[in-house]
Amino acid sequence: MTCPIETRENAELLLDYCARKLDAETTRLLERHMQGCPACREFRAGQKLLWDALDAWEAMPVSGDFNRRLYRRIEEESRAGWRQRLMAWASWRPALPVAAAACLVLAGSFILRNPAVVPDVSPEAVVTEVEQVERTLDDLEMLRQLNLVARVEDSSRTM
Amino acid sequence: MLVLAVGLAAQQGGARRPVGPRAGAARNPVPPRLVERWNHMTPEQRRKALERLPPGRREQIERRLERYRNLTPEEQRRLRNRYELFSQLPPERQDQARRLWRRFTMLMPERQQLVREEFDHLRALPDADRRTRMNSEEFRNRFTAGEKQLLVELTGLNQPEP
Repeated sequence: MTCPIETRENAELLLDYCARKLDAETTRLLERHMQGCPACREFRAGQKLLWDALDAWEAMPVSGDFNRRLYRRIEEESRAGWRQRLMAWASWRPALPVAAAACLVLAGSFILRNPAVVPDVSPEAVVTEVEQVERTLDDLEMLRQLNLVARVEDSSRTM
Repeated sequence: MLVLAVGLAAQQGGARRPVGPRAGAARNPVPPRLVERWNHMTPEQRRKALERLPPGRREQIERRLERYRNLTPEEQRRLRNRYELFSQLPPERQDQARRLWRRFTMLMPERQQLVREEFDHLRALPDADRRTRMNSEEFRNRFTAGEKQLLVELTGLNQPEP
């Protein structure tokens, strides 16, 4: 078996193994590999320490009147909050047209200076897209190496 | 900004936000078009999009994009067709294929080559001939128990659904 750490192609295998997400056959193959691979054993030991530390972690006990004090504080802050927000809004009101104009200028200059850049999307959207690309590339690599849809291809050709 | 965001959504195929195949519900194909769009990004744009990933994952994506880019247009077309067909399989079959693929990638490169050749050979055979081949002395001596099992499951995956 090729070493997941050396090839990096299968690095996530080790993480899945440590999280016990692999199927039995893959687990067996990986464990057999680990018997002869110090790097993978060391990785497993490190992950085990981490999981053990997380298992051993216990939240501090909270005092009996914690909830009551928490709700009282939230209430106090929300009561004070609307007054503060109103005052802040009033003090900024004269500056609103200037701020709006500045925003327009900034947005305009950004668009003019970056006509072909990747559009400004949220980090979550970027992460999702990266994951999609990664998954698609995984599948494409699989299908490039193994023609797993041969029968379907054949039957669609005869249709 | 809003216009740009809408433009991006349109580029990605509008509201057809694909569901991840690993999540097990992959009837909706993630278009390789997305991969092609990434291939046409500038290195700087790609670097920015990938900067949050750990280096290993980033390199793997870059390497695979490169591999895809290096295919001939004909190979790319064939691969897109395969992907399209694969996306139409039920999600369980897709996941099964991915599990088998994982097992395949864990073989040594020279064993991968042997298994791949045998798989290509087996799937071209009619059912009866395939069974004969799998029961043959040569087949039994050529592959380890794990490899034989993998080949059995791979060819089973190729069979039409009952």
